[in-house]
Amino acid sequence: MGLTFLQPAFLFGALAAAMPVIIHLIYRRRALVHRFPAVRFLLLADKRTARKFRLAQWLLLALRMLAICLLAFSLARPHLTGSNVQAAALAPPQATVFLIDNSLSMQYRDGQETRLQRAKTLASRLVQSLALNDSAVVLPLLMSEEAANAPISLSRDQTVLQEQLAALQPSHAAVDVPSAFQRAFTLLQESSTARRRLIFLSDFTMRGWEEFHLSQLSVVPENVTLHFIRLGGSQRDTNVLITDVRITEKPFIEHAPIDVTAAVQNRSATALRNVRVDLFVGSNAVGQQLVDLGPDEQLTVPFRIAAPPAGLHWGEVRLEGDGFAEDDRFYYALRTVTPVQVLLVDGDPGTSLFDSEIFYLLQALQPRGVLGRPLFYPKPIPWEGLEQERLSDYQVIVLCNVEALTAQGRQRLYQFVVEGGGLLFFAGNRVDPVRYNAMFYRSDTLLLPLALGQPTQRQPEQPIAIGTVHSAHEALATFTGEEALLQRGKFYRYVTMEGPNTVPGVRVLLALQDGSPLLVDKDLGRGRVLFFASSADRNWTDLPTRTAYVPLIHGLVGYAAHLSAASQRPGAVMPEATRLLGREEDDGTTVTIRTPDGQERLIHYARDGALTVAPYTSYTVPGIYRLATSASTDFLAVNGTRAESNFEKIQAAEMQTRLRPLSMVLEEEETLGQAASGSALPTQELASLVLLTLVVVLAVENVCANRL
Amino acid sequence: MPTDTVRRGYFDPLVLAKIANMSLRARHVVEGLLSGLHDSPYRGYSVEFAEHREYVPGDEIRRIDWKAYGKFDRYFIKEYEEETNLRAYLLVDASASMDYGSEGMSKFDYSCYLAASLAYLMLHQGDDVGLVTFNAQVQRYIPPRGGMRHMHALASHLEATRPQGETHLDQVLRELAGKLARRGMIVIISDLFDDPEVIMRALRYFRHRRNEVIVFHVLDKNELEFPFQRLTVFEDIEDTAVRVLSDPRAIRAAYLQQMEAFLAEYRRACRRETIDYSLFPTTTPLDVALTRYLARRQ
Repeated sequence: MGLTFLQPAFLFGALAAAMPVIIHLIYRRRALVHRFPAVRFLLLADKRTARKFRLAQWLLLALRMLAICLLAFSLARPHLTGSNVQAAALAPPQATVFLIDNSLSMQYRDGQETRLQRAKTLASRLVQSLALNDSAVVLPLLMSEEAANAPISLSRDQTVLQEQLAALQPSHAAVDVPSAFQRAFTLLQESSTARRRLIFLSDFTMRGWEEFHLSQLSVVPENVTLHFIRLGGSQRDTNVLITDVRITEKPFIEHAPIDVTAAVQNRSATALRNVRVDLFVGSNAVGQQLVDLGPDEQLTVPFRIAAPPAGLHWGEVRLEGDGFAEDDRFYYALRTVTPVQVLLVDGDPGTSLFDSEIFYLLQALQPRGVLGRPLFYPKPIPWEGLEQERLSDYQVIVLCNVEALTAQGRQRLYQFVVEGGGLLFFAGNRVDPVRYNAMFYRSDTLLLPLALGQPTQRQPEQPIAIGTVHSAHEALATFTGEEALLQRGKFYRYVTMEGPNTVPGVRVLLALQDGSPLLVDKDLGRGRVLFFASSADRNWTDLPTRTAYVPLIHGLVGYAAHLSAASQRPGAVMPEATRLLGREEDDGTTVTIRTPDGQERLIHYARDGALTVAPYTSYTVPGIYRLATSASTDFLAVNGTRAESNFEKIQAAEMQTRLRPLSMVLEEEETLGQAASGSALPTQELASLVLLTLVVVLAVENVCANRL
Repeated sequence: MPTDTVRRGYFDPLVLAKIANMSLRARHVVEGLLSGLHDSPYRGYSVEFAEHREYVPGDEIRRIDWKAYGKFDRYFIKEYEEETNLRAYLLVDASASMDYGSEGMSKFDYSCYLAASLAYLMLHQGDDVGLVTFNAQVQRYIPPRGGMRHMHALASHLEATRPQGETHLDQVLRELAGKLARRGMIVIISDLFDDPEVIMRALRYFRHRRNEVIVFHVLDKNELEFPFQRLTVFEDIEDTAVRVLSDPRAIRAAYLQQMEAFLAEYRRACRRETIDYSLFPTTTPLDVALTRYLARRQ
């Protein structure tokens, strides 16, 4: 048996019990000072009456304080709940399913506690109010597949029920009202008791109810009563959330400025002013903005920050707390790199730099990035100098019209690519296809994507242009929608390649109008090789003088250097499964995933068509998941679902419509037990008794006061 | 004959308080009283020359001193001092407790009017009147004398006296015992806030010497009725260190009981010693006090 209050805030009124004491102290302080000759008689009189008088005064004080406490108590509308009240009803046994909404929206806080915590407390009271012969079970609205398949049964043991309540955890899963009702109704159907009821504690947001109707259920038990208890009221709650975070200006070069854009949405019917949005990199706050949001308005909040030092980083965008904290943080991860070291090997240095084969390449790679930080550090060398270079100092090596390499040089180059380096060939008049095939299209140093054919010479007045641009390719992503920029270049001579569509793993990125491949690439080991069938300078083409040349070279070198890794890392949204993309050679390897709450999961890469993927669903909490393979590490930014961010409530009439032909009693959390009949919580009102006591106390006080 | 209403107003202490001069106040009281009583039973007889004063129309022709007219060629009236048949001592309490008053007049003021009125009446009837003001000891002693000119001295002293200090009436009475060699009437005007037993012992001494003793016990209405309502700190008017915080409503009954016992003890003791004892709240008209004196003189 327990005591509850419908208006517990009035209990603070009991503090007013201090008023008589305060009034006494004030009057004592403000007591008149009266000069009087007959004080001796007062002293004699006081000695006689003091004890009796003080006792009476104390009694009076106690009565007045008690009266105030009783008034506050009665205003708080006390109700007696629990087994004794229930026992008084002498009702036959009843089977009850407590269905507790554990969806993410129940994490909303109206005060100190979340709605789920309050629902558990309420359910605990309801469990306590069960009669001895009643049986019950506590079911979460959202259950894991494993829990749903486990045997569940009704129990009369209150300890078991309280344990079931304690085990309830919030879930990120999508709300599935029909399944939950089906489970509950099935349990009630199996019960042999005559009286059955379903008590559903929820905030009753619209999510999950849109498509629900009772007719969808295959089992609806007879004699079932529905008691719904709503937490948080029927009005739409205020909620602001971050829906997305994007980072632009790829690749992320350390210390270079990057733009982070957070999408913030007000999912409330009221406008909000000065909502604070904080940007964190790691645990460091690096940006803050205040935004005004109209009703249901979505805004993008831009931040410009300096990219952190080369490496993997995580961060978050955070909103100042509202009632629903689950969507106030959005995690992201990114990788930054140092500028790419590029070795430009000049196969035809010429007599001046302008005449050299790499002049235009050098010009294209030397300009600083648009953000004032260099993306590339190109180093030009004559072809003879390649032997002296330590190749591991570079990410990309560009061979421009290089006639030949020694066998040792070729071997070093091959090793460089296999270990992850990028190699970019440019053709030229020194490139002899036969010799090249002999050097680079052989089993021990198979560097060329395709075997080279004979050069094709076009008439000066009939140059050929680029016909096909594979802009979906990472190296040419810049030209998506802007393919014409590349197609303006004219080609007078180029090397043909054999069997472009027959060699697996070789991709044609650019093809000329006559279908001849101009640019092909293939992966080799952990590195990449690209072959450009024309010259890097103006000898065979005017492309170096075209606008497209610089972004093309940047794209090719960036691709060869794996600069795409220097980008926003993959993200996932709970509870949707994510697929981690690997490379072909990752097939069968293991990825160790460490969750933000310290748990470890192992998943494996496997081939799925052309892709190598590792599917993952075992999320625990939103945050940064650390991925580790034998060769690399990465971050996976996992954010909670935003599907539960809309706190629009389903109204009682609509709910009733969806539950026809069953009828339900909907009670609000604050007024639970106040319903005239059919309340889920049997209660006995005590206010009238308290008021009666108050009247008696006041009468006694009046008598005492008049006697004094 | 004046109506009772007129007389009340005429002798109302508060009305008298508006009259600035003490002698004038006394004259108002006494003449008003005497006119009501018709002839004074204590008319003295003149035998002894007192002074000359210039004739004014209305004086009796037979009282003109023709010898003086012969010498100065101006009319003088010959005045005689009436022979005294009583020697009265007015003992007025001038302790701090007498400075208390709730109705616009302190007990001391009331006592002064009373003393002055008595003095005027006595002098008017040819008695000698002396005055003693005291607190813990005798402050001032004015020996008894007759004649209306003495009234001025008495009134001036009363006007100049300010109540202060504690009361030790027994000590004062002992001190006076040596000075009052000739028997007479002793009128004590005081709130008697002292040990009744000790005071009565001293008064008894005077009675043994065949003095007439009249006690005018002057108390304020607040002292008699204790009408206070609010929580109050009562501070002893003679000793500010003594303070009592009390709720008057709670203590009133006990206080009034104590006060009644105090008054009853004086009444009983005075009756036993044939001392004329009268309680005078400061609201009592002064003619009542004079009537009581006259009744005693009879």
